[in-house]
Amino acid sequence: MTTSIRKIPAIKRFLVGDVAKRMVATGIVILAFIIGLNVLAPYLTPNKPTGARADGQLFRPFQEPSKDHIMGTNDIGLDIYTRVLYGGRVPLLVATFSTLFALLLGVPLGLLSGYLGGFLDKLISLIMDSLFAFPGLILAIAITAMIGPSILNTAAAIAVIYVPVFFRVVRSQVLSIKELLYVEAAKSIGESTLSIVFRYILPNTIPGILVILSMGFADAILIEAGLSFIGLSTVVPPDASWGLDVAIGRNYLLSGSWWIITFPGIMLIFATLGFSLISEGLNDLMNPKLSE
Amino acid sequence: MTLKAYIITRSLLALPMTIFLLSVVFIIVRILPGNPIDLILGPHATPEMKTILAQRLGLDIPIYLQYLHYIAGVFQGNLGKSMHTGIPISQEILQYFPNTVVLAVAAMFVALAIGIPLGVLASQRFSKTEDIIVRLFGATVYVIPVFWLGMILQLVFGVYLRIFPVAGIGPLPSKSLTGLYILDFLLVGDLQGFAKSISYLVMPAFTLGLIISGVFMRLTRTYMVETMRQDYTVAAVSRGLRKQTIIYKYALRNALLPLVTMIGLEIAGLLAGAVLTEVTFSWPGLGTYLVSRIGLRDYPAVQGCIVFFAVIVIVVSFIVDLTYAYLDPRVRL
Repeated sequence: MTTSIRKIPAIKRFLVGDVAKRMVATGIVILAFIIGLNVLAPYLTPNKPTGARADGQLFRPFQEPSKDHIMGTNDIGLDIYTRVLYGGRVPLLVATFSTLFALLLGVPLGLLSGYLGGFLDKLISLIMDSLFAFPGLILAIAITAMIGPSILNTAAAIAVIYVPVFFRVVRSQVLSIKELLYVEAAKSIGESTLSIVFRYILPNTIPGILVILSMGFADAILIEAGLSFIGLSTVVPPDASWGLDVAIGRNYLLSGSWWIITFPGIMLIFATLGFSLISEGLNDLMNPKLSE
Repeated sequence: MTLKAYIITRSLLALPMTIFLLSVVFIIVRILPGNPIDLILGPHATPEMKTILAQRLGLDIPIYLQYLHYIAGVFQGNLGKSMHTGIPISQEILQYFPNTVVLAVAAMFVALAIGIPLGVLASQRFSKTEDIIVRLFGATVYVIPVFWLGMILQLVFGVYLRIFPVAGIGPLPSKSLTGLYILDFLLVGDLQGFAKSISYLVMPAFTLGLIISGVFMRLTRTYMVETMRQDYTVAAVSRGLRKQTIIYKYALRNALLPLVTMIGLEIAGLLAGAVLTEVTFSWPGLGTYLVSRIGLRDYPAVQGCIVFFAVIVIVVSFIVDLTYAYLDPRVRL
């Protein structure tokens, strides 16, 4: 019969555990590569960050990938390879700010709500559950459309989606941690509530927070790109951003200019994959239940 | 708690949730920086123009009255009038929404058709090569931007191979009976039109379906691994039943229950994905409506559309909870 109902031998357990570690490692390598490209961009291309020539002149537009332009040129004659190198800065920056905002709001709320319980907990949970149920992208579209896109505004709009995610994960962990003996002990020696929550409970929620953090990065990159696609781009041409370039390429699909959308899209996938592999791997390492 | 009591408690919970979400929309549209009047009229507007527009939009009264008017309006199904067309927004939404439903249902079908078999396969080959490949597939489809996948499919199957139409919804039936055009084709007996509209539906539905299939794949795998370890499955094995019988009649049936709830919870993700898919394929649904009205700065329409999405989410989560409570009495405890 299948192995899944037999007790799985130790060697298999090791293999599965290893998959999780390999996922995290692969994710880190992908991210290091992407961040490396963005940091080293000035050394990897002679062109300007917008993709124009070093003297500011444009190239011939709509060139297919060739020896001169390995990823071709776009509709106004900017080098796509250069734009791909520099195009990660905006999404990565937006993702960093948005997860940071969400973390700073969601984690303390989750800690206090879970620890204190009572009416306050019920109220905050109801609010967070309502926000959580709402389609994140649509919320981000609404907010960005009203306050206008910019790195901080877009980051704030995306953060609103992730506050309840941090909140829920932290709160549910606090609910079980606060029953543990060492918390009891801290209470008995007269530690203040704030000290118990932040010094005793918070450190034990960090692994869970890390999983959400890297998932948040992945989602933020996708949402930033999605906003760019529907015309709420964080930056305007000729500034480079992967999502913006995919959006621009849409206008030239029918003429078959595949290279305009393909390369920035692949970079988006890589960056998101890096973060989501880390998140997935960490999650497996923390919940070995399914890997037993 | 009886089922009836549960329904009442759950309904009472839906009300504050509705009010809260409506308030969030109100805060976004009316209170956040970025005044709609300035956005609509631009920087060179005279104060008189601003006053007139404020009156037209009902923005000249105190903010708490605006809030009360707005909440009362929503509960009466009144979302205001579009600034662009002058037509009541609820009427416009109901015109676009059925197309979104068609796309979403088709995409859900694709997602389940891909996700469940792959999930079963992964669980049967647990921690072997197939399992790892399926999991990688699930992780990868999740991170592909839906609009990018859509455009690549448009390029390959629409522009180069010319198998499917690049974009659009295709011809509409001669008569609108149910509002769902695909159903209407069948009802008026226009099979040719039906086939044609399916050819327009294939690519958008596959795009959106593939992206969300990862979620179902992962869940099926998890639940199948769990149910295959249960005593009754082990008992079935020891009775010498065929492997296929055990998988499909014993394990999958029980693994499907949590999946039903997941389908409901995925509606939110489906709607969000539908917005981008619709824009990619110029599909005349609610997402395209929302995005085009953002471009036209038709703020009442944008607000109405978001409110409508909020209401759908609340109604769906209500139905899901009731279904689950009905199927699994422990929820009601």
